[in-house]
Amino acid sequence: MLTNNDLITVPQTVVLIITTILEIGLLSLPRDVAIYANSDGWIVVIIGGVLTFVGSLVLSTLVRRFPNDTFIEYSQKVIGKVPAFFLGIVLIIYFTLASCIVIRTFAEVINAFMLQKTPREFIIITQMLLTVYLIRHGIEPTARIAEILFPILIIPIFAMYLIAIPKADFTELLPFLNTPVKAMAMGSLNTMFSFFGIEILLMLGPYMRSPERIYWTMFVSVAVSTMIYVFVVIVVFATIGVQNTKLLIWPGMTIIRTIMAPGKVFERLDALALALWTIASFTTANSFFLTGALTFTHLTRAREFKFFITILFPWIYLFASIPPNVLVTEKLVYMVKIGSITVGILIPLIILVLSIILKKRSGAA
Amino acid sequence: MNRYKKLWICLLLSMVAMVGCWDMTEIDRRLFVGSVGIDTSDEINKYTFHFSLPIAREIIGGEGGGGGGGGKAVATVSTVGNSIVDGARNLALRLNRDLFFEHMRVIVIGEDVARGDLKKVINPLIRLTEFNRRSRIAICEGEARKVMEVNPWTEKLKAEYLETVLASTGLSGKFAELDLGDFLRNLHSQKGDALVSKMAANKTQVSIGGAAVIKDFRLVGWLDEEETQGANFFLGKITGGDIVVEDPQGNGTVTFIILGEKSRLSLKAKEPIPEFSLDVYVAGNIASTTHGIILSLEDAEKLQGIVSKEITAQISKGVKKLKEIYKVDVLKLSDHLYKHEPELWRKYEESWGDVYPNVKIDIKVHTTVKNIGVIR
Repeated sequence: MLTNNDLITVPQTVVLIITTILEIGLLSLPRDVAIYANSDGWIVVIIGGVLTFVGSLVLSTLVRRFPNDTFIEYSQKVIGKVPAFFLGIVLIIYFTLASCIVIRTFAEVINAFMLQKTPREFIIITQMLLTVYLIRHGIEPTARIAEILFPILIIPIFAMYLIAIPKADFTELLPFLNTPVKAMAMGSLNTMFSFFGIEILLMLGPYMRSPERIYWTMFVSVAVSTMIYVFVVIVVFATIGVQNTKLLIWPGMTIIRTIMAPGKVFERLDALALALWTIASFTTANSFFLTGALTFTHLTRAREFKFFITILFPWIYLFASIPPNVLVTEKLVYMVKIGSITVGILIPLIILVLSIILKKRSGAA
Repeated sequence: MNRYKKLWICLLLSMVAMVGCWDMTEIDRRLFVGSVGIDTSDEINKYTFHFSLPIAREIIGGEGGGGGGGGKAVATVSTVGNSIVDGARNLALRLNRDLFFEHMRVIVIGEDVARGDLKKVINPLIRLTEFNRRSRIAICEGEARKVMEVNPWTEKLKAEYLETVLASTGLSGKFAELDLGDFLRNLHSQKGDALVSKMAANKTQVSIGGAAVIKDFRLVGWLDEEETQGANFFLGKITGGDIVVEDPQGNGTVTFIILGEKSRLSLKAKEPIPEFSLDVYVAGNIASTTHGIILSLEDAEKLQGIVSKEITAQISKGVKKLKEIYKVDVLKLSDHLYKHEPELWRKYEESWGDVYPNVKIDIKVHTTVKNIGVIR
């Protein structure tokens, strides 16, 4: 069944997952957590990270149990062919919608901050063409690109937000732990949505060189992503204020427009910031698009996965162009993020529990 | 194969010539707005907008020739519109170039507009990204038109002049320094209260001493220079400026230059109403004394006490006006309660407007003399 014999190493898996989690939604994350928990928002992010790691244990355990199968195959072994087929369809729809919201949000940000008059469809299609060009080469090149882009992405993000520190007022993070437990819990669940991207693990199993180190891989990936998230949330809160953050659609981007690099060498960092977010959304779209195509391949037991990239292409483009404005996009994003919990944690959990009860393991069909 | 290679090269090279962009505007089709003035107009819900536009060819021409600089370097155009965007679009009927706001340096709001509702005016400045969030904001006495008509002699460009005047925090603490981003932040985190730079203008100069007091998005009054300096001391924003006090021996004045300051607010008592204490740490140099005085160690120490007293007086003056006359909490006392005593704040959240004017603040200033120059 493996059409592409390329395997990815542990560091490649880690960066692939981190770059998938780290997407343009980070720009709006400070607003989400501010609305739920005010100044305790950064704690909510940490709790959300921990919850995500706990949730990812389900996926990891499945990978450990069925190291040679993807979700499609082991769900067939556990719950039978017909129900598994429908789950496969759900998965394909989810991955299609996930790549489409990433690309769409990216186009939305570019439209708002840089190219006001450029048609959104054009931004979407150029981004998609680049993605298609890359993922046609398979999973190993995609992981390698993630490996190359990772430092190019992370170091400037830290450097860029650090510039805001002289303007920051860290008393904005007070009062500490002043939020009702219920709001904290809701906020943490909501933050889990921001970690959507770990679902690609459903399809990654057989492509990993050492699936036995999956727990460690997931721990590093989620921990690094949480650190980046917390850092950005704290800097945004301290620099533009918690109340102000609630009003902005993309506080993570607006902050760039209020800060000035020291020495006035680079007065504006907008272009740098947008370049970074281009990379971030590109890597995320790659993973989702590729995983979608892989799901299709495994579901139909086809030899060639490139064919399915072509099949998914128009659908992603269509769904990405449908929302008329950012308010509708936000709604779609929210729906997909709820879907990410369903697809990434709930369904795998059921499969895992059933497989334990029925004592199904890899090889024992 | 070779033929394909050539084709590819041709295709790739054609990209260089064919790159197009929807957002392309040639730089000579743009007018860079330097400063914006906003006034009220006779029509309801409409404002008069003044845009100051640098004229590129005049700036270049003036620098080269000795007697060449005939024309003005800056033009000012005015228009009436419902919002700043509407105003700029109306100008499209009269100007052949696009107005471009990315390099906007200063926004001057007229007194009448500020006394009305500021929310209506500032909304597009937050909503649209084309407005430069690093531009500075000021409220002027009377009409903004007066500021827009100033013809500065120090700089060619009015916007450059206005911006750098407003940036001189290192030289004086007698005005409120604020850029648009900070202004929006203050407005939102303090429920519409803020201190904004005040501006007054004559033909060739503006004066920025003092501050405008905004309460619930409306201008309620002004602070004079000393009160502004007092409020700045309170907030820990002073990075320069001077204090003039009487000589310890009583026959002249001493000028004390401020190097820097730190302030620390803390809650002293919770009952019956909150009581605060403020510690201000000021460091500075002695720049001038009455001639012939020889400074001894005791004199310097005495001087520290006198300077502290003067600063305390200024702070009290500013605090009194803000607290008792304007009843505006730009001193961030409620903010302090919310951040450090959230339990207590919940009790006062509703009634803070009534409690605030009666809150007691105990002010202590600690001054250190760092340098005395090269004579004793």
